[in-house]
Amino acid sequence: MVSNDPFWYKDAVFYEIHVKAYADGNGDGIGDFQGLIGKLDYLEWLGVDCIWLLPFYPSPLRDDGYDVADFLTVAEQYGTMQDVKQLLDEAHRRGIRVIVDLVLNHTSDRHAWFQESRQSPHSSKRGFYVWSDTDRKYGKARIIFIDTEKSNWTWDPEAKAFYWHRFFSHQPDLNYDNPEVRQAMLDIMTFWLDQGLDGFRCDAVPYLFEREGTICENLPETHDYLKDIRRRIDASYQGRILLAEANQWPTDVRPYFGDGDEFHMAFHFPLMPRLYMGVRSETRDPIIDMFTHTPEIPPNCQWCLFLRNHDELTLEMCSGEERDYMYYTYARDPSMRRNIGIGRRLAPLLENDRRKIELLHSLVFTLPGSPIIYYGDEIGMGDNLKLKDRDGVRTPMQWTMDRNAGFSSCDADRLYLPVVADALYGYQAVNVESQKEAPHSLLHWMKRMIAARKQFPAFGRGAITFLRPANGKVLAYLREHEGVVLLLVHNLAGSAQSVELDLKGFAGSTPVELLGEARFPTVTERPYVLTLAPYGFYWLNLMRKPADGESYGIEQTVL
Amino acid sequence: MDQPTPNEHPLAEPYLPESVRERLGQSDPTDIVVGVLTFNDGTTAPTVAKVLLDGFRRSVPERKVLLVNCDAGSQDGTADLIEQAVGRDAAFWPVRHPVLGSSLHVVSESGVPGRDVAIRLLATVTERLTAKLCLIVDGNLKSADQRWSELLTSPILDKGADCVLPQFSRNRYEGTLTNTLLAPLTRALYGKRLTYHQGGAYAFSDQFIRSLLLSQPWDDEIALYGIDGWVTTLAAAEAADVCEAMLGPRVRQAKPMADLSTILAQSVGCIFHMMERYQSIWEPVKGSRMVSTIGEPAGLGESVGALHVERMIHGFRQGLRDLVPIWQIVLAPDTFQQILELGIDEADSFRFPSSLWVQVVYDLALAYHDRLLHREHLLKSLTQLYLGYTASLILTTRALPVKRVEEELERLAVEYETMKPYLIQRWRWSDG
Repeated sequence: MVSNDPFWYKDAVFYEIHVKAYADGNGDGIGDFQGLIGKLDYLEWLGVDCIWLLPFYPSPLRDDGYDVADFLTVAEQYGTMQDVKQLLDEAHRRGIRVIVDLVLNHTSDRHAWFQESRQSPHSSKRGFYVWSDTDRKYGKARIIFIDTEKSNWTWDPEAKAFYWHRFFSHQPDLNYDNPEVRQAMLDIMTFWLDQGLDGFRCDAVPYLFEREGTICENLPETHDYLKDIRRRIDASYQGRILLAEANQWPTDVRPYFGDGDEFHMAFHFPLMPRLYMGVRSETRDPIIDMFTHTPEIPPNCQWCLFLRNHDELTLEMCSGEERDYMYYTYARDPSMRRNIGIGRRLAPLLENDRRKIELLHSLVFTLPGSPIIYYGDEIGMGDNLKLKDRDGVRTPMQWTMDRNAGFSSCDADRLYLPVVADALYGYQAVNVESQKEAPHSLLHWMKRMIAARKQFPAFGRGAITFLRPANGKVLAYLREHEGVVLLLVHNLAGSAQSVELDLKGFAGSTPVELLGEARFPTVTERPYVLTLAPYGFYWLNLMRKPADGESYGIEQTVL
Repeated sequence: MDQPTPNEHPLAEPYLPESVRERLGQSDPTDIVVGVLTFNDGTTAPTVAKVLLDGFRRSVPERKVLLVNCDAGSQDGTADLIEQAVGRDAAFWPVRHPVLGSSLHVVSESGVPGRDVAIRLLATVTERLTAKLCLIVDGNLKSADQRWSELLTSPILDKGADCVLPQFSRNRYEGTLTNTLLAPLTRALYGKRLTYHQGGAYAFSDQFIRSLLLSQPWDDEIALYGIDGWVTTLAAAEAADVCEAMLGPRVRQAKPMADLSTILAQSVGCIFHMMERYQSIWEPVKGSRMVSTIGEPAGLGESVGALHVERMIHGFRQGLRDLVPIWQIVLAPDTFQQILELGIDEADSFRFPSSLWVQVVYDLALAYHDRLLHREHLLKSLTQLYLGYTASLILTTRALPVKRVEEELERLAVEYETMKPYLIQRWRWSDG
């Protein structure tokens, strides 16, 4: 069963799943809830604490489900409400929580609310969306999907008016100035919480309100509404969480935590590209700089850290120079670029270098926050650049080397997307079954690291102190929580490095490596020397010699 | 004991430094090999070596004695200082024994890394020089005196004993792990009432060395558990005539020890590990018998250091908070339930019954046997339970005369013997 700890999310390892991509239970070529239920044992084995499901609502699928046509049921191809309940029961029985995507900002243009809204200025749903006779309002708001959209306004010939949309033109923004909209979205949330869901990953939260003369992002009205949501959830539901998707600078995201009374969690978007930059440039500066610019958050809140997700590797939070660097180093081929970012999975981004894959995972597992693993990255799945938009990173999960990678029993041409089948990342080479068989596979490594992380609440809850040794290729930091001190040392370079760490404050402690429990030489007043293999890292627990105030009085004479 | 087999030493050879091989090729037989194990023990080891040699000169002046200093790479000139102390007339080999990485983490009160290699080396030298016995003493034992030579070797020389182990005089709560687990469990298993004092002073006969010590698998398991517990368990389990020498108090130059859970995992792990090998021996054993002793017996002393019982109880309760999922796996349901119930007691009235403690130990032994968890994690999970039982023992007896503490420990030892069928039944069921 799931734990009762109200702060469970601070220690949790999250795992992002697209229902259609994970496992096909009925053989129609599209993943579904029954398929996913069948894989819960695997997720439990891996050590996942919480699943984040991408939208599974009925949708015309013009934005992979983020264009919701009905918030209160399940898309037919994925199953039924009964299946969702079964999934929740089975997941909870295994100690796994489930959160789902909720698109607060907009709906599909097929949603009944929009259809009714567009019919007449006098429609009861007219006020559910932002209509205008002109496309000149809110001119300071940026266009997010610059590849496809020319304006945030689109003319609707049926309504004979422009409607506001921050994303695709088929995704009209809801009008949160309308109290009926605010209530309707709250009702939708309580509906799902009543089913047993453990929370929501709230999509595109900065854009809920519009005000002339502003960039229409992060407005005070948005925060007021989000606080209202939180109040209502806290009042009636225990241990449920709200996770904010706000692709913003940490200082801009910080208000979304409020005083611990708004979102429980938020993604740390700008850190992610800097992890890649740090490894490629072999310097810790981009990573430390990012934390220097990350404000404190309330104690009951948490960052979500990730390496990849279902979208492109977004470079929105990069300067032009940084963006050029990322394109140059990670996406020299233009076909790899999507919107303002890179449409590749983790393993291909890192040239399938197992050392780098492990290093980056070590960073997201040990820096302040809770890690999210994108499905398939635990086995080093590849992508398919030939697929449109971001579909290249949304291909079927590779379970076995059998037909359709064990994802579905259907004919291959009925699959929602083809499985990756190239020589390097194809399902014959990269799949769960074979990696489960190999004790030293990436999958087993991930399982071990997740297990090691769970042993120490300091990873999720501890304070961080960066050490600044002379060797700038080494990123070293301490995580401290309730007397436990962990020392994390990472070599960002592709060559072996030696580093001298100032650990005077811990003289007398014995570093114990977390995975093998090997004891390292005792820390003294002198610089502590470590050598690291290329892209190597250590997770060390600085075990203090019990002080008089902590000893039991029997240690020295126990034998 | 079996008759000695012809000299065979292929296994020992790789552990002999070149200098030792050369000396072996040139040396005459000797009667007694005295090994002093050191690592930066320049302040104590010279005296230890000298008093031992003086003791032999007094007790067995006709015997040829070879002093071997096995040193792990001291930086303080230990070997030179020993040589100066014993004089040039003494037969003395300074040897730097190899230290293998695998043994670096092993807990040892002597603080001498590579202790297992040193002892193997000494055993090999004893065998090759056809000595009658080998006496091994830690160089940091400040309380060693001339009597030790006789006490530790006369049972072998005069009475044909196979092995002499130390028995030190101790204070009432000294050696709580030994007294509440290592010794009584060994006694219940193998029927010998050994005090299981691992103080770094013992002697082995040539027969014991040839037929038992050198024939053991000198590899991973010793590196895992440490040589002292391994040798003591060997003496208990095998058909060896064991004697305990009353050596008085043990005073040593203290060196940093590992944390409690590591000490516990290695020392208890050693016994659990050997249970696998000696199942056919310990299963039919019923009851126990005294072993012979030499020297003046000394009961428990009164002195008590600063004991923090509340912290021990807190440690136990922390276990209840953090280790329940592990205990649920390794303990029998009935044991687990009783442990949970202990958590609600007030600190002053906290009691951990002896029978429950024995049940815990037996459950852990079974879980270790069945490999229910990674073995090191399993063993370390015993730490908080041990703290709980120790706290209870102290709370129950601290106001009582020391004699009552001895009686309490004896009752515990009998409990181990009485409950042995609990272990055997489950062990058999598990094997079945």
